[in-house]
Amino acid sequence: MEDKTFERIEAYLSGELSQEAKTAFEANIQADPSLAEEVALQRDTHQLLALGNQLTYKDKLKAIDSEMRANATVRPLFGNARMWLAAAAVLIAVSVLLWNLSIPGGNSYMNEFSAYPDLTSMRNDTLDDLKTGMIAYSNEKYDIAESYLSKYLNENPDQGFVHFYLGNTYMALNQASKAVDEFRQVESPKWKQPADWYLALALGASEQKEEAQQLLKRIASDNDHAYKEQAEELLK
Amino acid sequence: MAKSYSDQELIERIKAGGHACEEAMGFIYKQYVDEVVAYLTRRQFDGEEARDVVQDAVINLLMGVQQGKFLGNSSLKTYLYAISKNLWLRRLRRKGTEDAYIQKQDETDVDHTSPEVLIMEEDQRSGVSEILAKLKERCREVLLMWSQKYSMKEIAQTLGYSNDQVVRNKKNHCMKELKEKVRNNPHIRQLIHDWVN
Repeated sequence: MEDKTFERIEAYLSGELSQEAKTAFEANIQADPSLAEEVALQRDTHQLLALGNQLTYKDKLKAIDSEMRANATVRPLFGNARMWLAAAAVLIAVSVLLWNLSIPGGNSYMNEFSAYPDLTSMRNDTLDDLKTGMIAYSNEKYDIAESYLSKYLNENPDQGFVHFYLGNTYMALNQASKAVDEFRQVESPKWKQPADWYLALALGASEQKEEAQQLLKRIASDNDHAYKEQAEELLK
Repeated sequence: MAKSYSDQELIERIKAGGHACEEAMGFIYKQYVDEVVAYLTRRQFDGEEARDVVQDAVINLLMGVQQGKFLGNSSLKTYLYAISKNLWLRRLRRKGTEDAYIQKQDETDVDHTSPEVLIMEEDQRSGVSEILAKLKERCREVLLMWSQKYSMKEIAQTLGYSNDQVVRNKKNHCMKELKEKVRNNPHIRQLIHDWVN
């Protein structure tokens, strides 16, 4: 079948034809049984994908479920409420100290930072260091995430996306220069664009502002970069 | 702290598809799974099976909203309960224990609506998985994301393509490939027709 017919059917099934074009196309379908069969076949193919989506959603829900349950079982491993209160007290003290040490008005790069969501949707149920680290990360327990993700990377240094999340963890812990080292190790195309943006923030927050600016300019001038607008905004 | 959504926001996200829909799906599941499981497990079901039912119920809820079957006459929570109960009744029917359940229904039943529920049978699941598995991984990813209404831009960013047009071409190429596989597989066409009807 010609590409043109295929694309016309796609546009028809996706509701992209104007009312006039749609009526004309439907008249063609009525008059041409072979076209009618092609439309029916293509509609079935779309329907097959809709069924495939159900399987994908089910996988994702199972992953969410096992994460929820792993989460419920991980918590007790990290001690009781008293330990958390003590940890919180230390964290507050450290935050106050860092706040007092920070430059007046704060660091605009750090103000831009918000931790990247966990998109790893890990599907296995084994509670390894990576999974435990990511659960802690999702729950904003960055000190725990740091220890597990670092441990995992010691054994699996080539996992770019883990460097990406460890970098985010360091940013959340206000350790921007360590974050820089992690973001520099992300090479996978899937994670490269967010890693560029976070690297720029980490550089800026660790007072390497010249390099941060250069990177932001590169992001801002790249029309296909997902963080183009944010980079433009920060450069203003 | 996880973000919270109103029913209206959730409905909009589900209709929008893509990442927004997945976020809504995760939110609904996390928000209600324990509650609905508790509701179901008061009677006969074990926790594992109840969680499985709630997962299927959330998928039915997404389809109901996307296909306009959910008319907004109740809250999403009530709708989810109603679907879960119907799916559960279906499983009990298969086990031959439906009557015992109905006798045990009490005044705490939360819904009086009866949404139609659709869930794939095992042979449908395996038929769909098998034919999709014949595609190259990249093709499968592009087509499923497209079908889940991810925008071309989102697909490009997630899968590392340089721009929207590349994704559009890839999608058409893969769709043709899948269409030919469907053409040559009358069994899968029958299975799709059974599902639609």
